[in-house]
Amino acid sequence: MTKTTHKIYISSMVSIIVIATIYLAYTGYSYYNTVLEERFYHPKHDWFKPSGAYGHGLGIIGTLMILFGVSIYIARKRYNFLGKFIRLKYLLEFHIFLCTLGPIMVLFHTAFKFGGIVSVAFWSMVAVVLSGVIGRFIYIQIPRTIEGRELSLQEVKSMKTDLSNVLSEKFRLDLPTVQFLIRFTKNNEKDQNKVSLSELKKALKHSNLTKTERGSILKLLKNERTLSRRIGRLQTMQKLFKYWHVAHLPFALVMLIIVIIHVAVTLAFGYKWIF
Amino acid sequence: MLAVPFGYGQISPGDLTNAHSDLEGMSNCTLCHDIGKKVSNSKCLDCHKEIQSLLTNNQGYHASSAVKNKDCFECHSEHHGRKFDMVRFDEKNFDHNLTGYALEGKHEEVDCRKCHMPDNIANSDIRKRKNTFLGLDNECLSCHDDFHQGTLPNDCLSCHNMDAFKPVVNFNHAETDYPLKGEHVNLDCIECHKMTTRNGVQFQEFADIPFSDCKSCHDDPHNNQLAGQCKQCHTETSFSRFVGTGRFNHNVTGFDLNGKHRTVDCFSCHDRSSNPLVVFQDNIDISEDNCVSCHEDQHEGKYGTDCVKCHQETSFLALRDMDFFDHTVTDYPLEGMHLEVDCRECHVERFTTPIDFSACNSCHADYHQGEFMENGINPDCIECHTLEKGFDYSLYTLEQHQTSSFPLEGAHIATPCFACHISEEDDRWTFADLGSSCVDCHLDIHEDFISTSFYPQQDCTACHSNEAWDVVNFDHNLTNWPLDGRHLEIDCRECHFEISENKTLVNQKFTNLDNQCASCHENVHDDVFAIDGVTDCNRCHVTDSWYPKKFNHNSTAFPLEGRHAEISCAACHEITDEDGTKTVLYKLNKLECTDCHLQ
Repeated sequence: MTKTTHKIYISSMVSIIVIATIYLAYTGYSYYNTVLEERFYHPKHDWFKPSGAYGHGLGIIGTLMILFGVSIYIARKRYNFLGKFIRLKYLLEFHIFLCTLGPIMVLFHTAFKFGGIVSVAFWSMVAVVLSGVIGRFIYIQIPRTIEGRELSLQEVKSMKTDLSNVLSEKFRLDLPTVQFLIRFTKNNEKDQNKVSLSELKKALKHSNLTKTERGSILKLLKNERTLSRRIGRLQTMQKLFKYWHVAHLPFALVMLIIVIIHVAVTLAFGYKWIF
Repeated sequence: MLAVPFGYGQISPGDLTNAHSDLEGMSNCTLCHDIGKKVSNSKCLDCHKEIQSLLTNNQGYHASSAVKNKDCFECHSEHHGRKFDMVRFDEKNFDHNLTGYALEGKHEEVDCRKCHMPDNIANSDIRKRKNTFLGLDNECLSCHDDFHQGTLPNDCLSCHNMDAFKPVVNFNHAETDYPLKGEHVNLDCIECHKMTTRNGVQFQEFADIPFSDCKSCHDDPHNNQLAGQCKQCHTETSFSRFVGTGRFNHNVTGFDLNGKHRTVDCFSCHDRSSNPLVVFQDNIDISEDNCVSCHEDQHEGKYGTDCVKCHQETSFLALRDMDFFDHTVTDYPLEGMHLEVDCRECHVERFTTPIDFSACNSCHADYHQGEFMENGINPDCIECHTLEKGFDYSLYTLEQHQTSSFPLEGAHIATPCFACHISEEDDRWTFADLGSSCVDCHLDIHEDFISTSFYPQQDCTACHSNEAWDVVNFDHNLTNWPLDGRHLEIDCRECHFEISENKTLVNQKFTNLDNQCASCHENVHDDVFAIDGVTDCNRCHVTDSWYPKKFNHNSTAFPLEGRHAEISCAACHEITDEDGTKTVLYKLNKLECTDCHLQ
């Protein structure tokens, strides 16, 4: 997948989520905005209610999305299902897409009735989603191979370029300038001599470099700084990520159990949606 | 521990309402829900028996076609929180007709709760409920106070309508037991239906008004001098208008009105008076059988004063059974057959209408139709008939008949009268103009058989006499065939009548009787003696006897000589065959001796 294709892939999934959310919120606004005791008398109660054709449908489709998103991701990650055809990174993004859109649909299925213990399933779902979001943040802090494998500290450190050489040779900068620039990349938050981005830009402006050269240098410096920071946080993040697994999975399991109970009870009492 | 509330959270989709809050809990789901069938109406109705009862009785909103086939939960949802209002409907737009009790008139305007309030609910359980619409009755009195305090039927709408208590537009006084007529129509109700107080509240009397007696409302201006009810003489139109004729029960006065007395105007017996205390107080002590005290005796005392013996009150003309009447007191005492005759046979008009009894035919029609009229005067019946024996018997005698133009002779004397005097044409007695010639009564059987020259004008007496038909006195010598010999002795019929075996006349021959012997007699000789085919009997026979006097054997080819002249004819002419049958042969045609004598 090229960078552009990936961008389209991501943006289309984001767009679907945003449009779907806006659509669901817009069509059902008047119903969802009605207080609980009055909803039965809403003209479209039979449509929007959780057991209604629409509301129930949202729940079923949303649940199926989540189940599918989870299953396919686990299958790929644990059992290397379709390993040759799709990269874990992209599947994770798809997993995030389905497990974002699914819960949003389930959210509308509940018709925002999540007061009290009635909506434990919902809240556990929220917990799973939030943990997923947090996990995603932690995840990107840990450098990986293109296949998604975590890089060791050594591998990360080797990624660092000999910045001073590149700066002095390629851009023919004098030593004081090179040292000033390298100070920007240092991963020391408490450093009194820390160079801010605005100072960096100012310094580059006063040099005799072209605009293109200035951009390249800025990008190079920024990458270097990010890498330096990641290296500094890597061990903390790796620790956090371990703990995250402990949180994300149980929430998902709780949600699964409750969904099974919920579906079983619903079916037992004869609420079979359109069937 | 967490699983229980978690699980329950997934089972119950929301809190139950306050009313159902005692059903909250995992173990109670199936109190309302049926496995696989959402919520069943029967489970709702198991608890809500009042609704079940309405459905069973097909009453109320829930039994209406718009609701009956719906599921309970379609209108009454649950799990919408404690404060959820399960029973909510649009009071303003609610179609009350669906409840089976259409709102009309004032009911349309009134606030729901004016009627749907605990005081109007009979059922004590439903009455306790807050804001319920159940439990009302269709009966007016279930909500409204009974102004009439049970004195009138509970069917308020038979008089009142839904618009207002007053006026009572559905009430029609004409449908009551006392329809209003005349002046009563113009009266204000309150004049008769007094406003009083009963049981401490205002009350207007409508029931049990003693309308059958006018005096319950009106004073009696006759001061009780007149018996009976006012309405027999008065109407509601006016007290001064008298309609008592034929209506007043006069029997209460001791003088029963019957017949014509019923319809006659009261004032033809009683004097008119405008004073109610005076009117009908005259002629009040007259006995029923004292007719002459009022009526004039048309018979001038002739039949006494006991009028009712003959007359009835229906009419002076309609008399009672008059069998008792003694006709001898009249100028025409009844005798004989007249005693049995019904009065009305003679007294066609009134009994007192005079009847001309001087002659029978003033009553009786002349059976004889003037046959006995002489010189324009019809003799009266009494000349021949009597009252004792009636018209079937006549005083006319044979002696009188002998003096008539047709005195009876011979067999006519023994002939009964009716043989001649009852006309065959109209089967009635007739006496005059019967005619005196025989053929006026008798049939001329010889017509066309005997020449009229022998009995001119069909005068039977030319041959017959009155004595008997078979005594004939006719000179046969007048004919061209005078009788002689034995012909003089025999009866005419022997030759002239052909009589059948049952002795009826088949044919008669007079002018057409042939004068040949063979036309009457049988030729026993066949053609033995025929000459040229004709056998003339006279050549041998005479009329005295069949012995052939004229026959001379000597003139034959075999004259009798010697012994032949002495022997009997049969010795030669009678031949006996083998069977012993004798045959007479006159012409032997064998003249040789040996033909007869044995050789």
